[in-house]
Amino acid sequence: MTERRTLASLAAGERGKVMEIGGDGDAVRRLMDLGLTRGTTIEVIRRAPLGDPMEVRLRGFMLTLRRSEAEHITVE
Amino acid sequence: MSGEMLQTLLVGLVVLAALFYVGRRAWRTVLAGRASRDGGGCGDDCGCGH
Amino acid sequence: MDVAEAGAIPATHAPSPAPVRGGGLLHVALVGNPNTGKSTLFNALTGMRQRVGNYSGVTVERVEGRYRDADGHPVSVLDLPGTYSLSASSPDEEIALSVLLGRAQGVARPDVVVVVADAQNLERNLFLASQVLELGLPTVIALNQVDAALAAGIRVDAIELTLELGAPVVATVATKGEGLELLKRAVAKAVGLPPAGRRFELEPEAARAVAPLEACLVRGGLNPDAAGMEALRLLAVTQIGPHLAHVEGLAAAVEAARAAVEAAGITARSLEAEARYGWIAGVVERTATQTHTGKKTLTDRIDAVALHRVWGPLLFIVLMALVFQSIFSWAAPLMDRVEALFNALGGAVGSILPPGDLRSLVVDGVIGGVGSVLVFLPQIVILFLFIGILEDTGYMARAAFIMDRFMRSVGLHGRSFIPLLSGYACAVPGVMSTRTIEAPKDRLATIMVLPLMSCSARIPIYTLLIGAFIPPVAVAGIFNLQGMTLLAMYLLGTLTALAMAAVFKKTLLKGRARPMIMELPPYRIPSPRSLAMSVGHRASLFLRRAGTVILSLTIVLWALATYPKSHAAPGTPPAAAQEEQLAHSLLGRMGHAIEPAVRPLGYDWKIGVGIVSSFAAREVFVATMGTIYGVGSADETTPALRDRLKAERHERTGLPVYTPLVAVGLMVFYVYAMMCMSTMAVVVRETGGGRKGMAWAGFQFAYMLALAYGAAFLVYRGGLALGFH
Repeated sequence: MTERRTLASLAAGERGKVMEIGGDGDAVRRLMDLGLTRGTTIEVIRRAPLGDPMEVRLRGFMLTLRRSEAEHITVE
Repeated sequence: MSGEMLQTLLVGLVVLAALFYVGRRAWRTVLAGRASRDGGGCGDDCGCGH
Repeated sequence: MDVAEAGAIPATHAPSPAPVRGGGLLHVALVGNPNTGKSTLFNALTGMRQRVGNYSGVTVERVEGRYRDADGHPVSVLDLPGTYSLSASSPDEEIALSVLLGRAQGVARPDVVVVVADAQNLERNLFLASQVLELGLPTVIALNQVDAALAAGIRVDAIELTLELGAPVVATVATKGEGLELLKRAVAKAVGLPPAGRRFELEPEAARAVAPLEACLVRGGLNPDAAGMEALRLLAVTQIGPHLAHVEGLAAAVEAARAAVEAAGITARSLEAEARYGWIAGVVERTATQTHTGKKTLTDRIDAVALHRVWGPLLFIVLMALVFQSIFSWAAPLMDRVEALFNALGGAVGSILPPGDLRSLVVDGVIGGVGSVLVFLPQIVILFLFIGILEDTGYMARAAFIMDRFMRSVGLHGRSFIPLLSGYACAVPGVMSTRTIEAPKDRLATIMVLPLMSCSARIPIYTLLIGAFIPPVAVAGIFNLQGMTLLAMYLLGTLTALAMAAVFKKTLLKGRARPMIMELPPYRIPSPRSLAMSVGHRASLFLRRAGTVILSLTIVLWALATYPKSHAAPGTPPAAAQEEQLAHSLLGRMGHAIEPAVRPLGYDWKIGVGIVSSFAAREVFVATMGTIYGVGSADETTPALRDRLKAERHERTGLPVYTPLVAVGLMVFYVYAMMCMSTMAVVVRETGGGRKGMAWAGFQFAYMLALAYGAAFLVYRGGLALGFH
């Protein structure tokens, strides 16, 4: 069985399927509205030159999110 | 009326108009503030053109 | 390229013939995700017939325009702010939802809604579309940017999609104007069509759990379709929006529904997203095909550089330097021409009118006043042009991405960077462009520190004082002391701005860090027509109003400097007579009155007059100095003024009034002091208008003045203590 990790821990080029979306508040809702639902595939493209935020590909488009937001998302 | 008096009259009118304009602008922003519930927003005109 | 015909409606909905509007105004609202070309579509539909204002109570731009459809009926189009969903977590989304529900103050409920969807991002765009379809309003889908989609290998069958959604789908390419006539026809026909409603079903347990909440909303006045949509939405939100405040018992009903949903084993807050996207996945599968080209798109290739660890920031710096440079150097010749034009005009009018007050008013007051405003125009145009290009191509999002980390270290958001940078040209467009910052506290903090970025109005002052009092010596071989002093002034302003932002965010404007969840849209070539229209629009607004405000102020200042008149003895030389006149006038008396306040900073009453007169607009300082020292219409490069300043001596002590120390202190004063009527007016408006806006602008004025005085004091007294003079 593939391991579970947080989105924040994925390296550039890695992909994952969303398992759980933790955290609270507006950020989570905004991500879900944008299509981050359980079972969606998400791919990490790169991190910003200063390390944070990160760029991911979701449902065919590019999205940025900070490490603090990505930490709550579990993927496998 | 002498030419000079006419000049002074014109100048006075222009200055008064300018003063009036500035005052009206200021007054309208205050009024807009008091009128709406949360004291915000200016509808179409806040007196600054943007 | 195929543009699908709109009109195939499923047989289950029996269409009624389109009613004749009878010449009444048809209200259409445009909604859609950001970056879908919605504004381009809006511009293409309405042309120059646009009006920009505000929604009452919020700082959200209200953009309206008109067109005539094929039958000649007038149609009013409201361009709602771009939103990803109707979840109402930001003022933009809240307004969009309020307007569509017919609960926005002063806004008519739209008759038809046009959802602008990006064919390249169908899944995500359909989320909003599915919400809108449930509101019970006639809806048309404008499937935009089909050309870019095709280039990326995406084909969407508009007719199939129409059948799936229950609403007409029209393919458009707004930048090229394709599909617009079909869209207009679809809008006209849509009025009579029954609304689509929800096109999918919830699981029975979920539907049961949500039913009481829907009933509560219906009791509160919503129609059943909208109630369904709101009920789903409310399960996930953290606060109930003001537009639903009137529904009794809503909070309790929402809690109950959440509990019921959870009891059924379903996560309440993800119910809406999962239900909708589950349906959307099926729709997309049935209506769109994606042929993977395998090679990287142009966007990916550009981003490989633009967002590279090393090249990214480098490219960014180069671009910013280019923008900065262009605002100064490219605008300069244009600015000079405008100034020359006004000088010529002044001369011409001056020769026609008889000498006297009227001539002085017209030439020095009116023409000089209007000229000093129009001088800004080239800079404003260039700045907005660049901002428009950066935004429309999609680079702005990348800039925010790169700068976010750095901005956060002072408590701001990545999005604050561009407005702050605009402040180098002029704070007015900078403050206006803070509208892109969602978080109100971040936006306020940015606005509060923006004027500290040395705007171009300070340049005449810097140039004059540096030219007169800083010796042009070389430092460390290649650097010039004059250039370095200028740089020092800029750095001072910038660093203070960042420091004050940090201070504000830690104290007054403390708030949680807003999420940096942002789309990086594919790069695209901006539509020149759309760009020209929005730049022209901003420019004309600026001209019209700023001209009236500054014009009136200049007239008032002129009066203050001219009256009361002194009557010099006939033999006095003109320079001395002018000086006496100045001392005698109201403005002069004000200068003398504040002299005690400015003497600790090393200034005399004449400088005091200069400062007082420049409260409305900084550059007036230079012109006033010219007037005071009797040099006629002076500008900062006039050698006569520089020499006069150097030669000026205190009456009593005989020591020079202006020394390098005084000059530097004066420049520091101007680095910090808020002396711009236009900026203050914009700040009043953008911080909420009315009392609240005036309070913020007043606070900004006060703290900046305090900084100015304190810093100038430190520089002067400190310098004296260190042995300079």
